Amino acid sequence: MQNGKYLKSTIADKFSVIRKSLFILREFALTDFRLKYHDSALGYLWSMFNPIAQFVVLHFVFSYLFVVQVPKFTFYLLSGIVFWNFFFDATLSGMNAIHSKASITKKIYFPRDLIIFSASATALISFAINTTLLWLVIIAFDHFSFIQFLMIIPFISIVLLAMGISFILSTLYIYFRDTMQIWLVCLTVGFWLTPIVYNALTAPLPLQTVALYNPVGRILIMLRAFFVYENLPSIEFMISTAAICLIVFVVGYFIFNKHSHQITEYL
Amino acid sequence: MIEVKNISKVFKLPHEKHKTFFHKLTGTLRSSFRYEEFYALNNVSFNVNQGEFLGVVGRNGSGKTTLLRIIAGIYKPTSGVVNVNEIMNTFLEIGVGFQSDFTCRENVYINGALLGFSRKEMDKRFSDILHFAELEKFADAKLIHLSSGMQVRLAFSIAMQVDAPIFLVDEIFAVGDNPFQQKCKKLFWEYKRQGKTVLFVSHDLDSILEYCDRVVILENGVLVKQGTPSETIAYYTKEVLKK
Repeated sequence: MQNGKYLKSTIADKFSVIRKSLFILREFALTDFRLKYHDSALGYLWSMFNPIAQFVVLHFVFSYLFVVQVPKFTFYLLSGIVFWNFFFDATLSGMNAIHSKASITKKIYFPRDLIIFSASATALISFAINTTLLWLVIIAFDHFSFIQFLMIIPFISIVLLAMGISFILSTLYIYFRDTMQIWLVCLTVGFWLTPIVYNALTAPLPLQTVALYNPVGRILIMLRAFFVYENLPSIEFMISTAAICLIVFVVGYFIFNKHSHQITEYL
Repeated sequence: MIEVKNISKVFKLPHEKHKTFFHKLTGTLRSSFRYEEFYALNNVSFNVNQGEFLGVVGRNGSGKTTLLRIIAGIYKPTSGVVNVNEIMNTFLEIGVGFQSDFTCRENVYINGALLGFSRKEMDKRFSDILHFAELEKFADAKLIHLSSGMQVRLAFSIAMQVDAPIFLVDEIFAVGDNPFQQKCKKLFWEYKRQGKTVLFVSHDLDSILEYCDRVVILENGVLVKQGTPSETIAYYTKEVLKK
């Protein structure tokens, strides 16, 4: 029980602060993940129910009612939904986490950015599982190629982007509680401004421009190129998209850390 | 050692609280931001020396908790500095992060992580914790199924396993039944014997007299007196509580 010497040597340096942060990160992320599916008979399966229903409805509507001209539409739509749902979850979970963890911040000090990191990590667990399943579906029903491994680029890009936006929204949320409602509206509109059910390149011009300036849209274009169509977009396109996401992440991170001490006082 | 130098903390109390964009917009049109400044702490300075038990007393709203939060790094002071030269552990509340839907075992690890321990380190302490809390039989019971007294005992036992040279403690003594309190008292004397530095906030003047080497009195955010426990407690009961 008495090992003060050990503690002294570890807390003293920065490395141990990071190490301790990882313990907290792990507990927060796993706790939230388990709480989400706690005491429900189907547990994790529920989290897949909603995207699958979304997929079935959209697939029906855009294959039979308003036919969109997208080759391999099934996989195109499915991959779009998996990625969009992560973006949806991760950006909202940051604000939820700020709200639910505010009371803990009054009682103990820990780096406040852990709140956002762990909320994103919780969303990331589902995202990683769903992406793996998506890949298995594509391999089973379509094809496999090594180019598909490049999907790690859009995968990491959307994680960075979602976390960066989550940092910014959470900072706003500290001061304005209706950031959440406004963001929900933005997400509803954003779903249709992002090439999830239609093809960005054959869409009418204004929509095409919006889809190409929308970072999520760019990520999806990359994703489908690797995953579904097996053709490479230009290097500039890939680098600029990844760079935008990285910049959003870094900017969001600094904004959040500048204001994070206010969580305790405002919430 | 903890060094507190000229700490002030100002809270802005708005006349109207703008919580939403809409309120903010309409509020800004009606009146510009008007707020009152409230000094929760006003130019407070003191030291806690190595191996000293320092008691902080004061009435409700005198700034005790704000002071602890600033030393713990939870609040940023408006002005002034705090220097802490060693590892510090803060117990403004025990059982931080407890999830009532989870078992005792899981909660030990969650709380442990917040106190800076990995799962491995908590594994080593796990049986000691449950033993001290007298909850060995309930390791895999959900927290909601335990009485509130048992929950507090678990929280307190985890806190007791943390070893640091400096402790910040906010009123965590009145815990559990009589035999459990005796155990806690023994442990605190043990800490005193080991020469730990403790900053101790309490309304319980008896335990302040029992443990503390020195006491400071806060009144409306101002440090009004510091000195030996007997003289400060006498002053406190005569001057501050009578007002």
